[in-house]
Amino acid sequence: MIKDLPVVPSAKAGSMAAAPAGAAWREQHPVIGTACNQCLECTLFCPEGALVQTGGNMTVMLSLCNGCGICAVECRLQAIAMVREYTGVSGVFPLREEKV
Amino acid sequence: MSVMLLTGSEAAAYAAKLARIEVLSYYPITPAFPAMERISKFIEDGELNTEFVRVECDHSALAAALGAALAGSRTFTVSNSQGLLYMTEVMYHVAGLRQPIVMAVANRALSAPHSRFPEHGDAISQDASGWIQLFCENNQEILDTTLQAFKIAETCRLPVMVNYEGYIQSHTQEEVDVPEQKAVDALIPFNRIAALDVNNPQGINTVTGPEFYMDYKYHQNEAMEGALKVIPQVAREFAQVFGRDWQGLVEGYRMEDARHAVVAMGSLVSDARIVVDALRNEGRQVGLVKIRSFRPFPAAALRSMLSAVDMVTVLDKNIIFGAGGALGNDTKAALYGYRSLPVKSYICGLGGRSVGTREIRQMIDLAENRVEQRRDYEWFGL
Repeated sequence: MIKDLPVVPSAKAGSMAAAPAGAAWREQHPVIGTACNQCLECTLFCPEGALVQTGGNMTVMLSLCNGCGICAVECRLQAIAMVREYTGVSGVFPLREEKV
Repeated sequence: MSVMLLTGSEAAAYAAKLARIEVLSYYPITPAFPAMERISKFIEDGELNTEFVRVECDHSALAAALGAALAGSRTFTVSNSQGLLYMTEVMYHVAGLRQPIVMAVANRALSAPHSRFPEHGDAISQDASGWIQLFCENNQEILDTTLQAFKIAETCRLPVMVNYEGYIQSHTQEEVDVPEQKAVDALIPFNRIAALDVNNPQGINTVTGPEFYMDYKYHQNEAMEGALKVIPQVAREFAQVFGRDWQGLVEGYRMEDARHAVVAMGSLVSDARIVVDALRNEGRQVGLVKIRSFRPFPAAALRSMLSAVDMVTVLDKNIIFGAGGALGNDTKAALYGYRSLPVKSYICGLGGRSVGTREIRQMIDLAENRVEQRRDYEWFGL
């Protein structure tokens, strides 16, 4: 889908700083599956400290994750899937009438 | 209305005055400067309430205009050739930030070697910049198009360049019908959208990652495609009020039963009309297609103009080195896959080399008499 954006490229001041690892530039992020046995091996490899165990579950802190995918490679149970950040329609968009 | 004897620069200045521009940001360059001089006289005489921003270079001139436009003021500037090249970075800012700045451009050849003489090379260098580019054939059209440019710019939220050739148009006097202020006010009421708001501070031109950049460019291109509708619409509205119909994107002249069409833009058009009349008197079925909007390029409108001809000759006062003339290339691209017909492309009149009715006639004869061009384009008048 074409995103609905402001006509003048603009945003609240500090928008990029407020989300340093935001989806604006991250290509992919990890999603932890049911095969996870909470061995915590991934937490040793994550360069950003984005993987934490909270309330008996493994959680990805997306504000820290840079999308490198090391966790998915290191997981012995292959319980971590890397999911593309931008999941919109791919392919050619038809030209549409500009609203004026 | 009053008829005045005006140069092209003065016609642009009168249009800016009638449009009640609020900010003029300008750095002097030949041959565009008389437009600025005339506007500064209007300001000095109290006829125009405009903030004249004096700057240290062309880059700053457009940057100051951009700031003024972001604040919501109706903004105008004038430039050409080296000044336009120096502005190039800000040209893309203005277009990407969708600011309706209008710029009069007195087209002049680019250095090196240094030249002060007319051709379209400077405008062509900005063909990918995202500015709407309109070309004028006479001084009346300069005034009328500059007025229309404000309406087009503010409707599409895109900047507009009004092109006319240095000296041939900028410094030559012609009779120009100057409209009444009241009628102009009714045609182009202020349509402000200020991006800068002290009550809601925003970062303008924020860093944009892969997730958003392409979408912004898509929207920008859609606005440009939308201009293909707005430009003729504004021309029609203008014609209804002032009785002068510049046809919008393209204009066919004596194309009814033409077998051979000449495609040109700018000052070449007015001379080509005389040539076409002369050839018609001799019984030759030659017509003329004037390109008024170079960007966006009116491919569909041009195709429909050329739907019944047997051959096309394109005259270009510019050269894209190693590729040919801009108009020739765009004309061929517009026709490709629709009609297979010979398109002869001539590079002429660079750096002020004279192209008048005699030369245009020679190119038409050459195109008809020679089957193949030595290249996809040929140089005329060396």
